Amino acid sequence: MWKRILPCALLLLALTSAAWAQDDITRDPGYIDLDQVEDWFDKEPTIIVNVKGALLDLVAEASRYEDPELADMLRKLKSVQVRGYDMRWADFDNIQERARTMVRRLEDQGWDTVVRVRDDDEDVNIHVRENDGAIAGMFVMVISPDDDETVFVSIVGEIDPEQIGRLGRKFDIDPLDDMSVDY
Amino acid sequence: MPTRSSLITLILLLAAVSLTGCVYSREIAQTRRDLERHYPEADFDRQIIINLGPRSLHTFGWLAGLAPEDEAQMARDYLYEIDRVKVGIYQVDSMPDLDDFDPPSIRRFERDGWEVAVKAQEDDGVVWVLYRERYDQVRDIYAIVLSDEELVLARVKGHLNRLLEKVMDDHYRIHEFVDELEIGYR
Repeated sequence: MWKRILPCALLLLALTSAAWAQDDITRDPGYIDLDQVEDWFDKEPTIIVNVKGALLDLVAEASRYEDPELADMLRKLKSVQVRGYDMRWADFDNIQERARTMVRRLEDQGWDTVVRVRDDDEDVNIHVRENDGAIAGMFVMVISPDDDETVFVSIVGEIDPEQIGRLGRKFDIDPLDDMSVDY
Repeated sequence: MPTRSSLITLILLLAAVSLTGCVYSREIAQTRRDLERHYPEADFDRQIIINLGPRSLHTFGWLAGLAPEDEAQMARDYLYEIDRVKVGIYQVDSMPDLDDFDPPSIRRFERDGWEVAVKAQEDDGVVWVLYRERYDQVRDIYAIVLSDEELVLARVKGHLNRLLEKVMDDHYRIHEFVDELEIGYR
């Protein structure tokens, strides 16, 4: 009996492991875990967006008629994550420092910095990760003590930087709205 | 051949049978209770509860299918893709403090396999949208919308990717048809 059950069990295990590996977006080179920035703040995020998998398909489908180009772009993406926080001026230096540490780590991991703006009241960073000649991920950080202006955006998948503004409008992400990255 | 009055009686009977229990939802009530328990200053007054299960929805779909209009046929097709709709609308008599608003219901949903798709918090309200996938399809969406006037809790369960695909196909066909009419008119 075991001779019949064991191959079936092994086959099932192999199939489920393959499916799990395929679905596990955390292994994607363009993925950034935004949970790590949650520790930087002592409050819950005021904005959370986690759109991936079947939900992303649903959003793409909903855009099919009104904006077919956006729908095509969304179909090439694997996930869109956003975290937005209210931040006090008193925390600005601390958050800035943590962000810089994170940027250094990302650059060590192969992320390129395509935009870096440091102002007295705002830090803006845009990073992309390439894989096999295509953009595999984009990470946007806007750190500003004004209300709802501290935003982290992680997009995994094949991104057309010229279309990034559409994505901002679709998900109501102000920093991405009307933004295109010359890359 | 059934008379008009017997047909109406039959429809009313079917509706009565299928709508049994559709004015209460334990899940919706529990979310409201969780909020009131966790935020003692919150007070919500029930306005409407709707809970339509597959039997009710399929009955509505079947009734819609009796009508000859194309829109009714579309509605029937859409209703067959939905398994359950629950909606609770509560008047907000007393608003909870939205500073760091993080209802325990969300954790309970996450333990049950739901994921937060969207949270958006403003000074005067908050929106949570959760979803659950099964076999690479969105099968469940749950929304919690709290403003200073109303608390709206809504859950839709069904083949939502397929439903949206049908809606978009019909929408596209209708627009193509209208465009053709407009070209012909010119």
